[in-house]
Amino acid sequence: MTPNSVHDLDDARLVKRFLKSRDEGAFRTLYRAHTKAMLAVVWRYFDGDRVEAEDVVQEAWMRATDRLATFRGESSLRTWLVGIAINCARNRARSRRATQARDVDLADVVELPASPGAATNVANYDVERAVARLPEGYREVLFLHDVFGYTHDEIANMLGVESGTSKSQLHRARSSVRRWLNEKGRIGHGRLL
Amino acid sequence: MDDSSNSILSDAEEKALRSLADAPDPSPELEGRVVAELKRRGAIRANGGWIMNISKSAAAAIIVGAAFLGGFAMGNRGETAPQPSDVTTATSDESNQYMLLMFTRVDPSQATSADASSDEPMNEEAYQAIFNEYRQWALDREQEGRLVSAEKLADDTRVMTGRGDQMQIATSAHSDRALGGYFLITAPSLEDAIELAKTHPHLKYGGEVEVRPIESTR
Repeated sequence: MTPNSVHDLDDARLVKRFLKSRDEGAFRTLYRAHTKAMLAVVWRYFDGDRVEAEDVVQEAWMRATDRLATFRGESSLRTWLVGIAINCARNRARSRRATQARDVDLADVVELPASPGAATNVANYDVERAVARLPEGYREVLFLHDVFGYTHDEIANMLGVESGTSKSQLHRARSSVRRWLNEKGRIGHGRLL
Repeated sequence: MDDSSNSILSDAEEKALRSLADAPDPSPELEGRVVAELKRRGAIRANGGWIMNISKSAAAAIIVGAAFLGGFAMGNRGETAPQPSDVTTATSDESNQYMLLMFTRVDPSQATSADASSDEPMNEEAYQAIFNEYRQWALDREQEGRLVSAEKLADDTRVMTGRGDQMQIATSAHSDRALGGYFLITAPSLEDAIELAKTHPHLKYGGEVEVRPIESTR
């Protein structure tokens, strides 16, 4: 997903209008411009549970409108909103995850030599499983960068980390996915899980 | 480190990764829930409080609604239209009926563009003047016995496409214009209806008026 930067100016005017008069029309326009992107990111935290994901999006909008006066335009509004949605999703997902415990230890993520093409017939399901095994921070960066197309600067704003951290986490995330796919190819389906 | 190229994963794996972006559209009900909750918290106000801050062209659609609410929605409410006095034009019993559909452009690039000339805030006096024009147009048609009914349409749109399991419901018509209401009038011919539509102030303030004959199915 490409950030909606061409509409930043319009966003700024709508935010200003909303803060000035709290009008419904301005809010609905902002809602319609950004909610799909918020839901797309949140969706991954809840394994397709629409009720939970949309509850989180609603919570994110509540927080966003509470804090909108503090939005300084240092990032795009889209980036800012998605960052809030991620924080809400993290909190909700952590409480859900107590009984799931699907994260692997950080020690499981190691640097491996790149070996592109080792799994040319990889199924989407395999990649999804590999990504699901990543620690939360790595998985978030991989999704935001490789799946949704955000830049490292935008990811840094969303997650509250340095841009360099985003880059290194992305590299480690990719390496971990590569490693899992390689291992899976040698040993067979489901062996590592 | 290269930001964009992923030299670790194969093309097929990258493609599989990108496919994980698939997520459904937000359900149409979510927008209503969010807005209702914000209203409950007092974080937003219903439309109407911001008219003074919007451009004249954008105000036109709202004023159409105000004119409808000002006493001209007769047809569907069981109210009786005033008897025309000295009416020389045909009445609804004698003439064809035509729908005047009031559209407003909603293309985001036009509605929110940084065009200062079209986005001057309106003051109370200017708003009232435009409102009176719309009201007078409706009054005149009523006096002529041409006005059959009129209604404002709410902004809360639901657009359904497909069927069965493939049915989708969207909150926007994905159109570059929005239908804000209608006037059902009578006129001897389409040409007469068009001439009447030309006088509607909606056009003057940047709106669009579509004239559609009512086709008899009897």
